[in-house]
Amino acid sequence: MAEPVKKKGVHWAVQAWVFLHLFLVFSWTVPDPPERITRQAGFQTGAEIEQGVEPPTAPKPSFAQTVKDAPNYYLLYNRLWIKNADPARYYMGFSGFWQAWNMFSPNPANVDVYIDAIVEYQNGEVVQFKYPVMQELSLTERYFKERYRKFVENTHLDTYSYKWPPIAQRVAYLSYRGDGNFPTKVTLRRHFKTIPPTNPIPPVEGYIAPEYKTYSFFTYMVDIEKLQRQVR
Amino acid sequence: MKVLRAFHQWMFGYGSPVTMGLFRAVFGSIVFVNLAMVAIDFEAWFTEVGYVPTSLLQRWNAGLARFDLLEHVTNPSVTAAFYALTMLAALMTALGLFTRVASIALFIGVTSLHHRSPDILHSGDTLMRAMLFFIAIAPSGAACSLDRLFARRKGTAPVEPAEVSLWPQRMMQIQLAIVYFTTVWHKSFGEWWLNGTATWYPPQLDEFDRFPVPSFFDQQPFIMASTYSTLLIELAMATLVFARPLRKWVLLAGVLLHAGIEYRMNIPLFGLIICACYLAHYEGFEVAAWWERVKKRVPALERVQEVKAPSAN
Repeated sequence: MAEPVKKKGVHWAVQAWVFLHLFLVFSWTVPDPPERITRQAGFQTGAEIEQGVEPPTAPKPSFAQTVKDAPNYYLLYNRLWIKNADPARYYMGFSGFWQAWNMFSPNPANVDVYIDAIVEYQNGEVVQFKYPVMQELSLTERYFKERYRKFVENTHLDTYSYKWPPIAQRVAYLSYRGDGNFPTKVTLRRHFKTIPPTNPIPPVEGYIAPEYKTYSFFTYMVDIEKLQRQVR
Repeated sequence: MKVLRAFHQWMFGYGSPVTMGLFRAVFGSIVFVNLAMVAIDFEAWFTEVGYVPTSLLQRWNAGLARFDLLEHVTNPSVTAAFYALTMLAALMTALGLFTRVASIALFIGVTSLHHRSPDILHSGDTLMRAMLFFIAIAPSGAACSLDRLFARRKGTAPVEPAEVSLWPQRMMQIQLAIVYFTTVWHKSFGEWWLNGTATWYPPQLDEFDRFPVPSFFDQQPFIMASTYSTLLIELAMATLVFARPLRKWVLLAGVLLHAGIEYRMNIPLFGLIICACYLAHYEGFEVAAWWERVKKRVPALERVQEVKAPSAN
């Protein structure tokens, strides 16, 4: 029979780490400050830093306004002193503790998006490549294939254009039929529709959803040597 | 001072490990299913001919080193073996077999896989990773595990699981509260959440379509009611859930919220993952007492002796 465990209490270092960890998780996950506050405090916004432009001077807020904005100033200094600080970035980023809980926020997405591609082959043939589109799959399939939707959400915007060549190369890889006729060009297309607002008029019976629009957002000349290696 | 002492006692005090054991078993099973679902498209997400070759990772990392054992692995067989070992670790964690080693391996495996293909992750995956860390550092194998069963057979474990410091379980509870609190904070900056129309949009997106609902769900005043009740429930999940008399009702509201989302929207496993975390809000002795009640109703379960609380303190 084992000896009963003696309760020794928790070492102070463990206690300190517990609080530090929770503090960093909280600091990491709170929102960034509103642009108005960044400006009032005389700092550049993210876009201004990227473009290297000076921020315009903002009028000095009243004392009452400053008090009202206290939580936003907390967010500003949290961003500057904690989230941007290397120790926090490494602790949260390296370890996999990074997290963000901005689901459906600040506003939920109102644009429905899916992608497909137009593939041109060496012999001049042109075919459409179907990327998994959730609404065209069965209920079971879409439950298992939802990662494809998430991937589009995280890659289709221009900010992520560096992710497009591997997508196009993958499309070429999947489009090759083993007949020596290689795809030479892939054009990625975005299909999207914007959901109209419901406010102030509530949706009524007979509401007609908007139609999808199509936009070619990337043309890629296939790296055929790489493709030949991939299909070998 | 009294409040601080009470908080310290709550945070670092001792109690039954049964909740942590049960949570490990449930969560390990969910992680296994999650990994199995993603494995169906293994080539697409984890190989060089897939959508995310390793060359992309440097750009995604943005100059920040990430823990990723697969970062430079381009051989699909090695990645597949790593994936299989991670799934094995999930299974062993669920069963409570070599729990400490298995749960640490699982956290390392899942973190590496997430850093290998970050663009396919949703919030459920992120929460899963955060909770796996707590499972790995908690005495998760002290109850509801094969480790304990074998130790009992060898006579090296006490009849009832020894009490442990509950700080890992408290971290789980606080992590969950942070999830809900910060999501409300993010939403407080959204015009549509403030004017009561936010819940109109997501169900209109074809990409999320799942099961049908009556038409009044998409009309006022239901939209306003569901928008504001979402915020209230999320806020309660971060605050009122810690008040014992309200806990059951707040958790029930949380389950209903996520069941509604799960029914209507195609976001695989998210509801299950987050609702599994609700277990952390129950003390070990409460879970054990619940198990005793279940056993009385289902006599066939009498032979299962694993879940037992040291005492109802």
